[in-house]
Amino acid sequence: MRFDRRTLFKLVPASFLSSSQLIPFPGGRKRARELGIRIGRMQPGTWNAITDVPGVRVGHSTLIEGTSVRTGVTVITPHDSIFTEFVPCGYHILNGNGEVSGLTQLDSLGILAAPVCLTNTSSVGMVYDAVLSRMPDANLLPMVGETWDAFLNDTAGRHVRQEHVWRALDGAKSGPVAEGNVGGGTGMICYQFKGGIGTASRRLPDPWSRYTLGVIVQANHGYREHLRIDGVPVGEEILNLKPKPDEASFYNSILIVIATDAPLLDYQLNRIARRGGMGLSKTGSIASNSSGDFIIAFSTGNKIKASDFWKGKSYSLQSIEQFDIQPLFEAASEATDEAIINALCMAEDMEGIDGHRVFALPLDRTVKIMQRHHRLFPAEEEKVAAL
Amino acid sequence: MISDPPFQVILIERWNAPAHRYFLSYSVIGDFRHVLGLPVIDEFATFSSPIFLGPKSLLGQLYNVGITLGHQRNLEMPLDQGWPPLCIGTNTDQKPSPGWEVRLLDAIKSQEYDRSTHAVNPAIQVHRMDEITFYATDLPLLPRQLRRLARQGRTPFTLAFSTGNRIAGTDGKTLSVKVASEAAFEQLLHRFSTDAPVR
Repeated sequence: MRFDRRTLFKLVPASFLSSSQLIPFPGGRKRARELGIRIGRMQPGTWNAITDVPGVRVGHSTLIEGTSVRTGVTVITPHDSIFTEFVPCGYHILNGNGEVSGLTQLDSLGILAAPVCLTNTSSVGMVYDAVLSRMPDANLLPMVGETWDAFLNDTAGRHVRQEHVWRALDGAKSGPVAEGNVGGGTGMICYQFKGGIGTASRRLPDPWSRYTLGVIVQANHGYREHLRIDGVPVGEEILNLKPKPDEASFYNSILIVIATDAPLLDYQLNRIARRGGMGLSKTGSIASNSSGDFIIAFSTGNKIKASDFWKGKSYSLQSIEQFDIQPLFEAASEATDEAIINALCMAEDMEGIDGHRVFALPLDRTVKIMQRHHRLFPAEEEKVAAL
Repeated sequence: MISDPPFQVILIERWNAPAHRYFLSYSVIGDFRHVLGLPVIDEFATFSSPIFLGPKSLLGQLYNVGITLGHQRNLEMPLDQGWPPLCIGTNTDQKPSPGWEVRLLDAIKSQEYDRSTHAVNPAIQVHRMDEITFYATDLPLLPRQLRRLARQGRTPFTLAFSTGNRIAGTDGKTLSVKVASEAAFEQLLHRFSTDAPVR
């Protein structure tokens, strides 16, 4: 969620950097690993994305219109038959100043029965209705989360409509995931740089090497000085390029969605979700008082037919035993950390409502800082020297 | 149930049964009861210890009895062999007679595990005492269902466990867990709220 800063907008005059001060990274935006930044020690999946989890698909509807519409919706579909075959799901709230619909039901039933949708604060109702219209079981609730994009977007206009949600649902796909200023992340701000959508994944080690864990975030949180990348205090070293006009606070929110095909039960997924919070904290977040920091975790390793869930006598689920769950904790923390850094690396400068402007993380300066702290791959250091 | 007033011990299985755990959850409503062992339940949603009840003024000593039992079962006292002792404080002022720690240990250990006679009590029971309700069932319920069941308790502290899944280490393989459907669970909720035996 957010402080209500709309009043502040009217009080503070806009002032912008000139375009000549915006220095693009050679070759455009790059993901953290392409820059030589390596988060953690586990290996990513093929796409280093939540879509590395078999069956998981992601769709975005991005709305960039005129000077004031900077928003959208992102959907994460656990598998093709989610409306009729549920998956175990858990969650964790680091700070609850926000909204994710369906959590009370999730608390009781422990299942996810719809795609997870990420959007802006004012559009939760519209997205909720759009998903509900496609759900065959009206007893179950859509899961729609929000973060506040009003610095760049006319959020009061509620521009996300049913057709945008359906477009994201119908267009959801596996493979590489667009990051940065897309979908629900279009107008989001992270550590006072341009934020938005980011994703990453981890392959689990033996004996669970057949399983993958993936994360997608809608990053809209953090105070600049707190930003750390792989332990390096990058935020302390890049103190300019803050949003214009200056804001009283950017202690905003983040939505984190964790998916795995490792078979887990709902209460185990609560534990996985908590480790997502550990990954968030490694980027510098303190889960501030005004934020809505929500972590949803689901497993596609068990699919529960609606008829079995509601009406049968009993059904069977597979589960990784608690003593073997440790690699999933590490994967959840690492992938969340890297997904947030990817959101920062892939987001581009954006100008929005009332001429407000947010700058992207300067990749050239970031790489040099990381190099100085000896946190780059050797192969990447040669490229840095040529900058 | 072992009773040595003012102590009681609820044994789910013989004290030295092979390593295993059962799902368990609880509900607290405005209760400031002394309970030891809850953080592990919050994290893992399982238990392997007997459930100890005794005066809150003696809860530390009662916990010590549970720790002793756990160590005797396995020096490392892993999660599925008696860690942590689940000890619930009661409000009685009754004083125990001397030597109660040894008596309690002996009473528990006298029920040696015998594989040929091994059986989990299949009864569905409600047990209420000292503003505590215990729900026990062999219907295979997950922790979230047990939490919902515990919330049905009409006492400030309610504990619910299921013997429907006996969870043991799987050595790198996945574990199969049975889960009651919502319809079966609803039937159980109805039964507990109406005609279940109260002892």
